[in-house]
Amino acid sequence: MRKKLFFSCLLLLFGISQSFAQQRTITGTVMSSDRTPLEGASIIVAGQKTGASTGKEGKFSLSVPASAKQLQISYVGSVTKKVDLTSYSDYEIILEPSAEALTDVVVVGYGSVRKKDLTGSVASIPAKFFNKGQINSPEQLLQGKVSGLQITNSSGQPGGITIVKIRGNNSIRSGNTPLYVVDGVPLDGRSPRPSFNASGLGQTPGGDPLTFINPSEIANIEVLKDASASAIYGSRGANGVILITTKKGVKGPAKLEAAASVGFSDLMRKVDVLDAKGYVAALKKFNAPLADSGANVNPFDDIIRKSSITQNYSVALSGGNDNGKYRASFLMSDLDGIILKTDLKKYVANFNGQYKFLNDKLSFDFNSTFANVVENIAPISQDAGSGGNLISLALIWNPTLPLKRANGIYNQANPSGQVNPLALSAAYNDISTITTILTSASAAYKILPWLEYRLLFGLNYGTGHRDSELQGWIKGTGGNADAKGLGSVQNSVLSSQTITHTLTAQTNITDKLSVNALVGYEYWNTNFKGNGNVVYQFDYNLDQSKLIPIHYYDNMGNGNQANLQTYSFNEPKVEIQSYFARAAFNYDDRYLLTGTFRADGSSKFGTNNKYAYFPSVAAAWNISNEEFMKGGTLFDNLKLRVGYGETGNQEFPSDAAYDVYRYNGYQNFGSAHFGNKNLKWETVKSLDLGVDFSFLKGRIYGAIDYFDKRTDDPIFLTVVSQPTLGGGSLYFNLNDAFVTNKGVEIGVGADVVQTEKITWSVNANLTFVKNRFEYPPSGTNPLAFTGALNGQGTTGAYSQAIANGQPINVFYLDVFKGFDKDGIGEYSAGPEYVGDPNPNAFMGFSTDISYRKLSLNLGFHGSFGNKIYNNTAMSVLNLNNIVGGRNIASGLVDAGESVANAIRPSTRFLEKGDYIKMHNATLRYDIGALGKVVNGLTVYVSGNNLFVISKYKGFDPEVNVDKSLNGIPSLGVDYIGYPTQRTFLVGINFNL
Amino acid sequence: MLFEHLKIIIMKRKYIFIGILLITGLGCTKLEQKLNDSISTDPSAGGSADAGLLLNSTYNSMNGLLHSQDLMFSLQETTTDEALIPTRGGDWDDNGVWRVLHAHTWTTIHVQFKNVFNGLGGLESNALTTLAFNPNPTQKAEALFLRSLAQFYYLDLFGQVPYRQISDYNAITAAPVLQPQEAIDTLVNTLTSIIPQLPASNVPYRASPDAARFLLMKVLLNKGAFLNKKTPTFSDADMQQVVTLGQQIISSGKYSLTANYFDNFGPLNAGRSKEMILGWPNTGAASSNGVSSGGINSRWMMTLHYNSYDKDNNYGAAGWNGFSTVADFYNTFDAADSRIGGKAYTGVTEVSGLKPGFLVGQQYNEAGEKIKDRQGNPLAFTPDVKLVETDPKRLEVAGIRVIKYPPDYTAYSGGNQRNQLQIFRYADVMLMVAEAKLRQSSPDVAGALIIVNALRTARGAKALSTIALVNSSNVADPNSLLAERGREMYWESWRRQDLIRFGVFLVGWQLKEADTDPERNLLFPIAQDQLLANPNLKQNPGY
Repeated sequence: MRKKLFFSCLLLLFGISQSFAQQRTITGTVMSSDRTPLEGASIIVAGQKTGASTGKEGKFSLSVPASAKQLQISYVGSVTKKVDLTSYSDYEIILEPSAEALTDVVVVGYGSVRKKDLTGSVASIPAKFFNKGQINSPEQLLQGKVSGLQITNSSGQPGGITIVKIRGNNSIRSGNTPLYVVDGVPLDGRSPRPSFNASGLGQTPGGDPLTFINPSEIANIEVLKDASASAIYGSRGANGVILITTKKGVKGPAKLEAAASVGFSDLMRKVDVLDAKGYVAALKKFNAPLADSGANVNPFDDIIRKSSITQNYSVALSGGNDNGKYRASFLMSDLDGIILKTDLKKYVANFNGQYKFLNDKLSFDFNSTFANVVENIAPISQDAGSGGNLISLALIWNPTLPLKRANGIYNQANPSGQVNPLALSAAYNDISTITTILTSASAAYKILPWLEYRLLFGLNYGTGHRDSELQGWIKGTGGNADAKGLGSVQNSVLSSQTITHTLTAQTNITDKLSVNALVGYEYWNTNFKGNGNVVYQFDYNLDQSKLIPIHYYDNMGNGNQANLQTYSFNEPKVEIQSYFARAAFNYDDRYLLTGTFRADGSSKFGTNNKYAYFPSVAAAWNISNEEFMKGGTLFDNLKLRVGYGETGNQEFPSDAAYDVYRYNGYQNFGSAHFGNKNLKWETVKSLDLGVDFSFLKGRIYGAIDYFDKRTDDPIFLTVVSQPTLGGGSLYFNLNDAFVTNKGVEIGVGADVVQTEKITWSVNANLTFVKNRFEYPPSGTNPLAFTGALNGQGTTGAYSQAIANGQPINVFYLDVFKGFDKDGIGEYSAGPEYVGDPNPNAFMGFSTDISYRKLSLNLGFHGSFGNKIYNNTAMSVLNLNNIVGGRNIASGLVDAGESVANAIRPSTRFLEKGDYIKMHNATLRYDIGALGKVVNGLTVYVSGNNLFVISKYKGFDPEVNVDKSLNGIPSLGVDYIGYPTQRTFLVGINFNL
Repeated sequence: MLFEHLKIIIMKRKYIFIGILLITGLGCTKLEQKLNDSISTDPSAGGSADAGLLLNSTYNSMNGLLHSQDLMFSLQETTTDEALIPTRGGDWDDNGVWRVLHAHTWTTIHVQFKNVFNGLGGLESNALTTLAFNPNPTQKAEALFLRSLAQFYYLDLFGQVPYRQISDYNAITAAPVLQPQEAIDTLVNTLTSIIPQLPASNVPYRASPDAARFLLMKVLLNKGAFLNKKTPTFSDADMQQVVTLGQQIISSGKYSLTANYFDNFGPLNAGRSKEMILGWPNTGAASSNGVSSGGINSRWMMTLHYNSYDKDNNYGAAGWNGFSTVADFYNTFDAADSRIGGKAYTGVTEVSGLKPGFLVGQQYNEAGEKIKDRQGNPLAFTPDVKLVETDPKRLEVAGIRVIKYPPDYTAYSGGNQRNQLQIFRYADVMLMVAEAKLRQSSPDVAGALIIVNALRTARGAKALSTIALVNSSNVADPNSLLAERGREMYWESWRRQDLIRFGVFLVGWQLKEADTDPERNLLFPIAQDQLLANPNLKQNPGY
């Protein structure tokens, strides 16, 4: 939300009145957005040479011709403002800080530095550059905005996981997610949402861990991309760090910001299956049993909601004075999914304040977020077998077979044995409620003007509750609960605490040499626990015509207690204790040097490796500040950076370094696994070379970085010599293995047109990454497999490998060579390395065009050179369905395939994943002030996921279904996931 | 300038600094991991979690390994003339894992080999852990039995036996590996020593002296094949001992041939089978040894058709329509042999129309009506079958199906089926004794024939007038002891071992060419990752 110019007069009322005098005197006060008077601001009359500048207290007085229409006010570090003149003669003008000024100070770990002092690769994105439209979790704010940052929505599910990777894949197991730090509090990175696997239906995907954050309350996001920046976060910094700073109050009278938007969603893209007519024709063509039931239905359209409404309402109150500032905000958001019975409801309240005492020596800050996020989840599992999930059932339901009988009863007698998707949706209820508290308090004392001690205590406490049921009247779902009914109630708690002590010094050592130094200590812990009950076989709701409105999960006692399974778990508490230091030297604003060091001890590490040490060093040269550049007109800024750092990753199960014995049931106790006492972090060594530039008076600006990262001692779920336990695998640091990520990232912005009426700016970024896994001892054979494939005829099948000399998750498949004369597939003799799911390049592009008060903002992102395995096409929409009374992909009819052709993983289903997606378009009209009370009135229309350009045949090439196998994550496999939704919003923002 | 500042601070503000150090110091932690819902130390220290519970865990670790259709069963049966899983159009390709087993065209990458290798290691490791935590003599003997069982299967399937000393129970380093002769010596010594330690009163779900005798018989009988799989030779002393051990079991009077062959496998086999020497109790509920149900339903679901009878639903999910057998094997039975099935079985046939044994031709439901396949063709299983079925009309019906375990319709596909899994069965003892008599340096054909004919008579088959070990040029020759073993022990996870011992695993049979490599397929390959983890393992010949 953008704060608007505040001025005390209304053009509408007085615009037509004329002044009698030839000249008149205008007076006013110019202030910054926190109402600090600005001295030295320049005021000129538009179109004339007349001007003045503000004196003390920001006051000015200026004689202007009667014909003057507009004043232009500018001030260093602020956005130049134009004020329409009216008959009023006294003006109060508030200047917003310019983008450069906003980012003038950049938050880095445990403090901030001036942007010009930065030596590392840090992207700082203020709110005004965030993606607009419907945003469900904060990661989406940055999609396509930052070079090197690849953001993928894993599915279209509201609240679904958004995957964030900074500069490629460092790790061959899970844990490529950056560390999130919100207002100084590091998050755990997991969601407390309990998982649910309805008997026979498979595991539904997890939820995004950041949905509890109100995106409109974020003031700034910093992305620490290279190790010289993230090394201060030590053993959790290897995947980069994302620092989220929430909006704070500003000095001035109480202000109320309000925003409302409503909209609707529809399906972005369809998957083509045969319609009834085409289906009947196909039955004949393939000589299939005549499964023509005469009707004409479109089952996929039937599982799409008839109206998916989105509503967002938020208000924020803020204000403050010299001693304290406060801000309170409230968000209520309800996003309907496009699939029946799915939605995401959020209620988020934020409170923060910053107060100063003892002549500003002591300051006390607090930040609190309380969030309640409720999801209605559909049975769209990620690992459905031949029984399928809601999406697959709808795609392949015989389009000539009615889903409902005339009496409203679902048709459950599909000769193919398929479950009725509409009935499944009706019988399935699954509601997750996550309540999160994120709160921190910090006190800082200025021991000396240049020396400050700060203590921060943070708590992140999330509870997840999940009620689920599968009513007994639905048949054919398989498993124990089939036709009996199943109820489940589960709870979990994810709790982490932070205590941070820092001592910061900022001083000049000599006239030209200044130092910014920091030492600190941090203790962090996290714990995850939960419990639940699952029971199957209920007395009621076993017949669709006789339903009573009592959910099984509200009535677990009715379940046959002989079929009750109860569980609880309490994961080991993870404790991390750290000592860290940073010193940044600046010589004459020309030569910059930063060094950091962190020592991390973790309770997860094996007893032989308790502490890890992470150094970094970086230097920068502000060439534009050199004498020889003075007087040059081309560059406003030219800075060379070089940095090296080491960071760590400790994403492995918290008990992996220990022998673990546990009860597995009544009278069942045994060893779960033995411990690797040498287990430690994996280390990412990263070199970054960068140049920052801006020229043509700042009209063109950007940065280019080359990075070279190497992950040593990669943590891998490694096969242990038998005999052993735990399925034969344990977490090891693979000694002779390493991962490299090398690449170039380019981010460029240009203010192409800057006239009074029209402005046009573009921002583009492009990143090339090359990823390799090296492990010579394994030769050319795959070390491990992942990318599990599911569905009919694919038990135990996989599509990807971890292999020496290949990119992580390389596709390892038989090569499809076409069909023989009988329509049977022909393949290579064995599997080969055939494609990379990692993109060679990914890009973002955005543009802002404004004409007077109307502005248009467009955002695109894309990915190139990656492959997607279409598991849906392979084993859900396959041709063989036609003889089993199920529908098929429409493209198969004339493909020359026999219905007897086997379902076989091969390159036949490996598709190009290149795409460009328009993820947002927003058209906005800034009305400005309305009456004396309403300010900053803006109305807009916005669309998300408007279109995608891609040859990929699935719902969306931006996809990543979790198909991990034996703990090794997959990448780029698509399997009957939640389709992407397109959302249109109409919104209004204003301030009081 | 800086140092002057620092001096001033230290002089004037020392209390603040002391305070900071104090707060910082208080925050320090030793970083000891609290496991919360598990423990990391000697489990017996807690009292209740003694070696007995660890022993239960050891038993449990053989549950899935022996039950599942894609582990031990698959390696021992689908690689043989008794079973195959044809690819049926879109169904049952599963990356080709099944086809290559029957055709003997597997490579080093096969998930089933890997899973069985790891499953055996888990069983052995659990036994080791039990042994490491002060078991009493009985517990110790049982743990040693289970460890021996794992080692026996390692030897049989992979020809190398990774093992650890008890003191190294939790080592994660490369394990030493026993070569066949050492492994056999270890097995013989261990099994001989525990026979007197094991309680004779143990139920068939716990190791008993007879179970140890049975395993020792298997070790001795296969010793020649374990040492030289290409051309096994059999020592007279070993064969004599097999006979002696067998006679001890037979003369104990604890076992007898069950009158109705399928009562050995039916839902009530816990009470009806007189032949179980070692089995798995599928009671479902946790019993005294904390066992869990093994999913015995896979034994009928893997072979039955989608549209077979299912008490829970009639919507086409009654079976997986996969596992079949070939006509040549089916034809080794004579019509009167009760083991071929096709007769009504109480508790099953009146419920579902299903008649246990070999399913050939039209299938009927409980009302006697013809069942149709999903394409509307009559559900009539054909003896004719191909490895890759390509005729759209036959996709679902090709192949004779085999119901060894009559389904428990009280809990068909879900819940707890009551059929106990037969692991060591009495009839096998008789056949082993007969075989040993034939393999003695002076073969006792008459003695063997008496035993075989006693068995055949009990099964309703005609007595044989003579018997040979094997017809090397025709595995399907019905007049051999190998064929008799097939007829009695089919689909009980012994066939591959038998074929190797009889020297015919590499010959051709229906839908399988003779193996070209004279050695390769006699042992399964060891997975690449296991070779990397343990340099003491060597890849088997031919891979």
